[in-house]
Amino acid sequence: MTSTPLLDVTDLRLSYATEAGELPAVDGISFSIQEGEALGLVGESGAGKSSVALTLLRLWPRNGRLVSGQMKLSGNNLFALSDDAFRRQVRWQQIAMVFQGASESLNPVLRVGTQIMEPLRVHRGASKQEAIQEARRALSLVYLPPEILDRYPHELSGGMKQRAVIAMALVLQPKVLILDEPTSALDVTTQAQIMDQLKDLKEQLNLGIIFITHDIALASDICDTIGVMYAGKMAEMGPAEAVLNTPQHPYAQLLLASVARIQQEEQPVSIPGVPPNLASLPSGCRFHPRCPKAFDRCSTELPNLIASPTGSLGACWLLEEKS
Amino acid sequence: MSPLLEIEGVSMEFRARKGLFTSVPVRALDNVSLHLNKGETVAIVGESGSGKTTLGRVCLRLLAPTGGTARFDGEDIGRAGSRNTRAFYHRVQGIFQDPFSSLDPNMTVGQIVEEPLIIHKEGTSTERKAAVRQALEEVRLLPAEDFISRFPHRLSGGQRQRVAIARALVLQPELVIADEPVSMVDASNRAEILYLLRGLQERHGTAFLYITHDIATAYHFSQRIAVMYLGRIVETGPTHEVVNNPLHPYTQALLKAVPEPDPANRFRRRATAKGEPPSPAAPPPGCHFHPRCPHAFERCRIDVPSLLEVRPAHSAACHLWPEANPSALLPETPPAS
Repeated sequence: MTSTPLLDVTDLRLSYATEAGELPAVDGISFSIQEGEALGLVGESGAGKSSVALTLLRLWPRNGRLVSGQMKLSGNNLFALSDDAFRRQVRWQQIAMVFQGASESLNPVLRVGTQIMEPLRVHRGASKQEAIQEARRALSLVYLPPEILDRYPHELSGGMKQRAVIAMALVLQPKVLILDEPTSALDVTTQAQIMDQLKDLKEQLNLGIIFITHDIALASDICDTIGVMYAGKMAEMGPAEAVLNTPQHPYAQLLLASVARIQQEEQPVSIPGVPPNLASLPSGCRFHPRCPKAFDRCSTELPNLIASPTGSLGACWLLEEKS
Repeated sequence: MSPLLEIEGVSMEFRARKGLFTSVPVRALDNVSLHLNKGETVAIVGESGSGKTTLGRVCLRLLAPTGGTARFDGEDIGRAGSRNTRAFYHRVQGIFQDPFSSLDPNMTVGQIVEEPLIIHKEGTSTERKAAVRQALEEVRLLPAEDFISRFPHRLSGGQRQRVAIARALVLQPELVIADEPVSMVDASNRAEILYLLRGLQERHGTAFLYITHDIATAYHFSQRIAVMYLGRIVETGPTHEVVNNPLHPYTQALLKAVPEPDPANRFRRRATAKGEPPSPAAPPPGCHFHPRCPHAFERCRIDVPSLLEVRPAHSAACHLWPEANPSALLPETPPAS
């Protein structure tokens, strides 16, 4: 783990300008991933997971503003690049993404092949023959037959469409693949198949994966590292074993306890309250109004990430008490 | 005691457009029988195309079945005259999947929850307002006063779904058809909504038909489960039995597909069913599940298995489980339990 990380992100901050003021959607997020490693970003809606992804691809909406942050891909500082250079050299070529609901946003009047080949034609200026060959290769990665190239999206099942969208993201052989809720629209058995597929891809291609989901159980299916986000901040991040088996942050504990499990009798718990509005964030720790373990300090001081005894980093004052 | 809801051999055939002038019959429900007692929760579990939503719509009288009968409290749901419609919806209500499209964006929360009372000419304006407040309190939209004047767009998904529940329950119905009520709600809020429904059931004796693709929530929130695949019930029984000793290979595949938070998951592959459910317009012959079934044999491709009681109150439609006859030859390797 001493080698240069594949992707190293430090103190990422993105805010959205709204009528209610500047909203800190991503507020000081840092992480790094190695080749062949998957990081899960988990949290409720509004936690800022998707905003992190958009920031990494420089696709934040117009009212978004990058406040700070460093992002290095194999040691190269990507934020030093101009927008144009980033578009030509990085986006989709090095870092690709499967957007949420992407399989439903395939163009219905274009053949799947045309859509998979488009990045090759645009970014690489590939000839038709080369593009077909590369598109076939990408399809074979997701176990789809080459005939799919001639099909229209409506002729494919939900699972096949999702695979085609993943093939589309992989067609330029990126090093990092961001997946935003890639299975949320699929049936459970199809979801399990796609997850197995992603595990294969991660191994075969040595891909760095950023897996975004609100379902921590699903994240455990592929992620080596799990980051639990809350209101734009990282609540706890660490090896999957630490976060899933011995979560330290009360929010991570509750998120895990909220999963309905079939292998145990324990009933799922619910997390009281709702995530805060970014326009009126609580003082101190952003989770304290919902936290069953909150004490005085939590409502006044914002905790930073502290190393926990389990090997994870947690932003919770309880950890400081312990150490 | 006769059941509150009794579904007997219900079939539902649609015509699906194929070309400009041609259509093919699609059997969304194929001879489905099920009953639901007063105050009970039965979960219908299945993937897309299983017919679970169609079944819910038949029970809500939104569709008239093409075969069989569905009875509510002894009366045929499909045939009751239109004058009974109002009485029917006083006793039977629905909660739907998408809380973003099931609430009128131009109405306030108070108006949305009050509307059923107005339609059913219940109480005076003051009484209705009190009932609305009480319903909002029951679904924990607190303080209720704050929510009454809000519009749906200012609410989160979980809050909207609670408004939909308050609207369904303000008339204190005896039966609620809940079609995927939590699938669009954040995982962390699902349990809360389901506990809410269970609390209401305990207080008012409401019966729930809980339609879902998620067998894990069905496990915690139902007394009985019916698993559907391509229009047929393939397994039914007490929830604990179906989940812990599943008989049908499809139920087993469904259970294997459910992820549980475990860091070891990433090192193993899930042995779930291969392939995807075929189109209901062209279901495979015999047992619909046979092309995906790891245990399929010759007979499965030809004969439709009937739903037989294999264990007490626990039935499966699978040739591996011929009958609950102790002398019957059980398969050499019974499906893993």
